[in-house]
Amino acid sequence: MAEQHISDQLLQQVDTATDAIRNISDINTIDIATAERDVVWQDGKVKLYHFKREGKAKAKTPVLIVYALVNRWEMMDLQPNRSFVRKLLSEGMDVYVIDWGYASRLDRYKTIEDYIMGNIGDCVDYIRRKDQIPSVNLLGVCQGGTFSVIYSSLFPEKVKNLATLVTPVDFDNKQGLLFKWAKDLDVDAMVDGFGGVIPGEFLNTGFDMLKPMNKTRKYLSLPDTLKEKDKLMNFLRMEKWVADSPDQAGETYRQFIKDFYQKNLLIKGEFVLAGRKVDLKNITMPVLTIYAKEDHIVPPDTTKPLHEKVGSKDKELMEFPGGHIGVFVGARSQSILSPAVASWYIKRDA
Amino acid sequence: MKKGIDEMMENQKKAFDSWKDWSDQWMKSMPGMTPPSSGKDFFVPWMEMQQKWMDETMKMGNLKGSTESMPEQWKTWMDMQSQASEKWMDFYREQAKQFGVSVPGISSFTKAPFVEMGPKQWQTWMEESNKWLKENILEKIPANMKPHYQNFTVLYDEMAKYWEGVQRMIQFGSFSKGTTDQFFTPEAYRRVVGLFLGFKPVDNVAKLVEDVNRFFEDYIASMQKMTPGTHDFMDSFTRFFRDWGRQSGHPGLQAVAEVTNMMEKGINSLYHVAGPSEELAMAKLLKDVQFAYTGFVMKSAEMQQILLDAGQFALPDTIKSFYDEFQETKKMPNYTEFFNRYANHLEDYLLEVLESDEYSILQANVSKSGIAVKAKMDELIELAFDDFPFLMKSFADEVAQENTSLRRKVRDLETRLYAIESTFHGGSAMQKTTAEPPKPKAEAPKPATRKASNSKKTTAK
Repeated sequence: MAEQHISDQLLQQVDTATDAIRNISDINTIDIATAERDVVWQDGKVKLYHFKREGKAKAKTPVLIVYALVNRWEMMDLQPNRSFVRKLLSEGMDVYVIDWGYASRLDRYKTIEDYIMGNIGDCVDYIRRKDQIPSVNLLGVCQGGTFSVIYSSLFPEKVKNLATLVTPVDFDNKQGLLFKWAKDLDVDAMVDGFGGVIPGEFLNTGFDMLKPMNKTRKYLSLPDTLKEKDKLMNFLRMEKWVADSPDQAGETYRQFIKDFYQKNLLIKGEFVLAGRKVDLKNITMPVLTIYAKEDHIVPPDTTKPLHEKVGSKDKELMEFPGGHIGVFVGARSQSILSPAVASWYIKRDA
Repeated sequence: MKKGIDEMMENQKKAFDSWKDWSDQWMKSMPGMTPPSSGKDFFVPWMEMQQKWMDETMKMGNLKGSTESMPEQWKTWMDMQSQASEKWMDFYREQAKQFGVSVPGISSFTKAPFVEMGPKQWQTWMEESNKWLKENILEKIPANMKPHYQNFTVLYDEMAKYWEGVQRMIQFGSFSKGTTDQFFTPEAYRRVVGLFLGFKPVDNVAKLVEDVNRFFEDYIASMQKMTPGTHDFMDSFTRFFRDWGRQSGHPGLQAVAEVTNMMEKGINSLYHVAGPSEELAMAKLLKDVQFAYTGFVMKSAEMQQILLDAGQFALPDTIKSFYDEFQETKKMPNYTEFFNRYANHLEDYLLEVLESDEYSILQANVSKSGIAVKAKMDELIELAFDDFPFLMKSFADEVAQENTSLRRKVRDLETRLYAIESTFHGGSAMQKTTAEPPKPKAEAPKPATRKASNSKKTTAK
């Protein structure tokens, strides 16, 4: 029996290895973010993409996706069958995405004000002017969601509908390690010591420690991953995305850690941008707040309070059964979440 | 999972298919190679022979248990594999030799007689294949993810050394901490956890602290004998570090000694660049670097020790959980199952520490002290090149400040211009303005790549 068992294991391994060799030999390029697009606006490193849609439009108001500064927007279009952007397009939405580019030492004095009042403001205005519309739909993702919330509070007349994906607004949280650790961080020493630019690798190390064995588990499951070409490509694309972690503009990082993680000013209604107090009650347009039930990076309790705090009458809280990354690329994201988001915008397009 | 000889045949066919595909591809791309039909000519008769054997075996009855009930038939089949392997590899070698192409499996199939059972041959092939796969995965993943994957493969192999012993412990229920410690020594444990978390383990923290204290006392005593501002000062200073670096035999301080040696070499050339006037300032900075680095090493060691202490019961727990299952099922887990469960147990213990206030503060201090070293080194380099026409950090900061300020001014002017033009055109907020962007330009979808300026950090998610 024991021999038979060993032979079974061996057979399984030979089977896996054979498929794996075949699959990995076939790979020439690992491409991400392949949805066709134009650069329609640019200011320095920041670009605004407009995606091409083949089908008929079902909404006249386009959606502007505001991604986080941490990591890259490509997660929204990782691969054709796992693409939030493509799904919105196929559902009849007109889609724009802001690409923040890669911050360098030259951007060390760029502040949250520059990002929100400057870049987001410019992109929103560009779309409004181009389409001759008074307001656009915003879809804020993670930290980009926090920025979108702030923008919507300051310029409610320019935002038709606001949807946020796994967006932290209440930073006084004990579930999320990131929220706990950030409170003890000497952010001045970090920003000044790093010479004004926080390396992406530094942030990645912190993310890794939230679930210290995640990497081990990922590589441990490689034999199974390698057996299927689709899984293998997905793995390689994710590796590519994770590795591409931009540095952070020091002043923005300093302010984000201090004002949000350490002082929790946004939810308290005490955050001030460009001399204007950000009051969440000013957000009166329809709001869709999406959180991920298993999110260990941005736990639900940090996102859900937005639903309570906004001044909107038309508001909805949506739970996604998965983790932080699953929101963008999980199977349920494709089949349930992104169509639901598109439908939510379309219903409120009148 | 499917079982039986049919499965074995299916897998072999897959393997041969793969080899055939590769050689077909080469032959297409390399003129002068033997036409693809040669491979096919070999392959088809082999498959027909297999099928014939299979039909005969089926007539004899129980195919599933044929390895036990029909050893002669099984041996015939093995011989068939042996012949097939040799023939195919001969063909393959001939083709590959002309082009010096290296592929998995080529070295594992020798022309030696098939004295062992077929599975052993396949085991060898599989090991070669795994090696090839590791190399090819490594080639496909981004540069800054490579160290993580390499780390994992080292860790996986390291743990495998203990797998045989662990199986016995599972079988006999030897899962007390004392027993596992004898087998899986504290040194081995430190090495493994270090690999899991990606840090270089420090040996004995108490001894490290003692050594560092002694270092500071020696350092202060030596400094009192020196005369600042002279070449003698600099010579004594570097000599002190060099000697101390050589004398410190403690593993935890080896890294400090390495840095000291590295700095001695590097700093000497910096002194030549900077000239005598900068020597004293640089010597002071060097001292700061040294202290900052020592502080960083100590804090790191403390943090590591907390994590190491936390995870020490993960192995006994893992063995116990498998022992409990073994009592019921009499089934031994495979190595991967064990490895996976050990990682999960270890993570549970580590998270208890990671969630503590103590760890959070310590981690913040480690980060702060690590960055302090970097900042001091930056200062040192800037000082050394002070009189040279290079764009140094402090000046670059002024440029960055000016850049940001100008962008704000431009944005402000655009907004004002837009407001004026809107008024002029009747106040419509939708009026087109000079801010209208240029004609859209198509961007070829391309994989995002880190810019060269960012690629220096090739080390974690």
